[in-house]
Amino acid sequence: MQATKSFEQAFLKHLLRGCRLSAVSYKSMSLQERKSAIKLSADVAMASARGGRKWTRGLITKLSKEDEHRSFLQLILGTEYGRLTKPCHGSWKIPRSKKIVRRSLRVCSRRKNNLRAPHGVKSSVLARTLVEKRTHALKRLVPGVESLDGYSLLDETLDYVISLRAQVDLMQKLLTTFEASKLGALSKCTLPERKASFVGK
Amino acid sequence: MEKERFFGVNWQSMDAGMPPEMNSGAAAAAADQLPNSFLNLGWEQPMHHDVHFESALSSLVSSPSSNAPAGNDSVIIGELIGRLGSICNSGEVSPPSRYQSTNTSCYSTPLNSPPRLNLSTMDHQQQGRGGVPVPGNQMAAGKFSPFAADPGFTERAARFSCFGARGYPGLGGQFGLPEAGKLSRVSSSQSLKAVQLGASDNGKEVPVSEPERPETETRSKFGGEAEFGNSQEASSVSDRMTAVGAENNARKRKAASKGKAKGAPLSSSNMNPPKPSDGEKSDAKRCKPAETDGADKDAAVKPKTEENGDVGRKQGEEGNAKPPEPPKDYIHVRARRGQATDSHSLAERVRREKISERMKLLQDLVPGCNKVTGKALMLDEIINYVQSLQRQVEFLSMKLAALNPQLDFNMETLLPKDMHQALGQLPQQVYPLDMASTAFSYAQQLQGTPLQSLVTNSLDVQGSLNPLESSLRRPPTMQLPRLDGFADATSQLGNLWEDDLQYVVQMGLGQSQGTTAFSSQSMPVE
Repeated sequence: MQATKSFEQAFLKHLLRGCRLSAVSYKSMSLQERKSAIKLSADVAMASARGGRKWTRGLITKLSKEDEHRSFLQLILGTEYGRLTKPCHGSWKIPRSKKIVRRSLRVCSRRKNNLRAPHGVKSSVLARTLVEKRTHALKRLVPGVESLDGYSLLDETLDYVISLRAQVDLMQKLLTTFEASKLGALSKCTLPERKASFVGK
Repeated sequence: MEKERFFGVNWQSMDAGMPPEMNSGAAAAAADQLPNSFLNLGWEQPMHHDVHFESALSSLVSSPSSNAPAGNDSVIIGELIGRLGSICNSGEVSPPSRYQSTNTSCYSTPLNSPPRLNLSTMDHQQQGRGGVPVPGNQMAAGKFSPFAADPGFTERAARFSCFGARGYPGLGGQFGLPEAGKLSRVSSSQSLKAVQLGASDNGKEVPVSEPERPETETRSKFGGEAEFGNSQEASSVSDRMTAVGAENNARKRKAASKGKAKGAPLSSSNMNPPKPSDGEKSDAKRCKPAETDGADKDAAVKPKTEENGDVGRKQGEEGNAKPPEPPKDYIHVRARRGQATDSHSLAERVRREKISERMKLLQDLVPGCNKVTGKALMLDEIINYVQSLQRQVEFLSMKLAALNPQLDFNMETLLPKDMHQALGQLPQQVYPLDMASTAFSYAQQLQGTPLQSLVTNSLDVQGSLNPLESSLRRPPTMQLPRLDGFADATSQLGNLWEDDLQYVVQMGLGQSQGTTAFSSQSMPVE
């Protein structure tokens, strides 16, 4: 499975536009700042190129939690921003207090363990807890999938993996292109006649 | 400045060569609207061909239905196929490469699915289906091979088979039902409309295009339009096929039960609300999953239906008995032999099958998952893979930031839309670029260019970097044979690119050869 050409084009376009907008420059920003600006642009570009999925909405919501990013996001996405950040009905999270949830889970698990202790650990229970643990870990990795069940979670993960792969590939190609063209720029300095030919154009 | 202008020149020179890419690129630039679906632009042009397709079909339908003699079967079929072939060929002229580009990425076996789907939908649609007579199954089947062999048709068939993998089982099941075109069950609202329109048209000589075209016009999104247009076309094609190829035999009953059972895992009440909207997005990414789903389901269901042949027959008759059931989005699942039949286990089985579908897809996606069985281990692998991809993104953004000082992202002028082609030619690779080594390989490739001064420079560079290069990478001798390939690449791209972009592409092409050994090293570099 691969991302389509339109996705790749949209991603590159938005990435470059975002980098320019965030004014990534050597003079004003340190390496870390530049890196985070580029990463932000890349994530936004990936989300906006993909369109409306649960993980794109989650990603943009997560990114816009910080105030400084919000204006940047609004600039990049424009009208899409409102559309992508409004909560869709399927993913409305009921606000739950973490402490209460944790306490109830602890009580439940203790009750289960007390009931089951004499019989030993059943394999199905073990398997289920393993799967649950991994599901929670996956939910932490993929943005915006906290409220989804098994099938939709796998669906969104699939989509997210494809987009991530495309993002990585495109960024690599961009990197090689930039490096190569930088070398080209370096070699050009030694050839005044070529420079003149360019200027002539 | 000069660069922008000279790229304008290059764009025009490229015009003749690749209009589809240009169109999509220009459209992408002009629209400045983010595509909601992956195939937003890709689906625009095919719409026109669907219209031609449908109008040809309608004219075909009206003529045979008026004749209705018994002996003109082969003529009708030949006409149909010829017409379709001409449409496909004419439609293929303008956006062939677009189809290739959008479809090859997602369809591995377009030729496999259409014949199979066609055969499965050739149910015994009895008399009520228009006045088209009933030729032998084999003849129709034989005719399908040239039909399916048509490349344009295979593309379109592949496209609608991808949608059809979702909607088709519903269609296939419904063709087991009687005349009036009423549906006992629907897998999605789209296939419902498609079949209703198609089925209602069969009884009369109403051209198919008219009811379908308003439907296509009322669709809001392109993706939705395209899918609906395709499913219309799919249903109309299948309708003609069923009308043409109907006969009584066990195969159709099996197909009916297969269609119904196939429809069940692929359609479900809780999937349906997101499915049409997902289907409207109809990204090429998801098309391949859906197609493999359909293929998997076929394989899974076939042995089942051979077991339950008599069960299927009963089901067919039962379906005949209740035509006017309102279209509902619920599941019909037939229990397999030796399994519990209460609703809970059925629903659970459907759910488990869906999840296993997705797991299979993820297995294909995540490298190294073929040996792993079991949900927990698979999830482990998926988690590791997602983490590694995210780390790779961070690493690459760090590299881009480190590289950045010399650029200030005016490189966009160096990256017009046709640059994506060049980037597309660069195969995927992960390795840390070292300045010296890149200079070295870059210099070597320059020997293929006609620029003498650069060659002399590169030779100097080459001499100094030889010891470095040999210590870093493979022996330089391995790079020399590739220069021939670069010469070809140079000649191909020479018309399109100015000199420095040639370097860029050659650079990428040069580095494409291997260095996969470094891919494993790239991660620890963090």
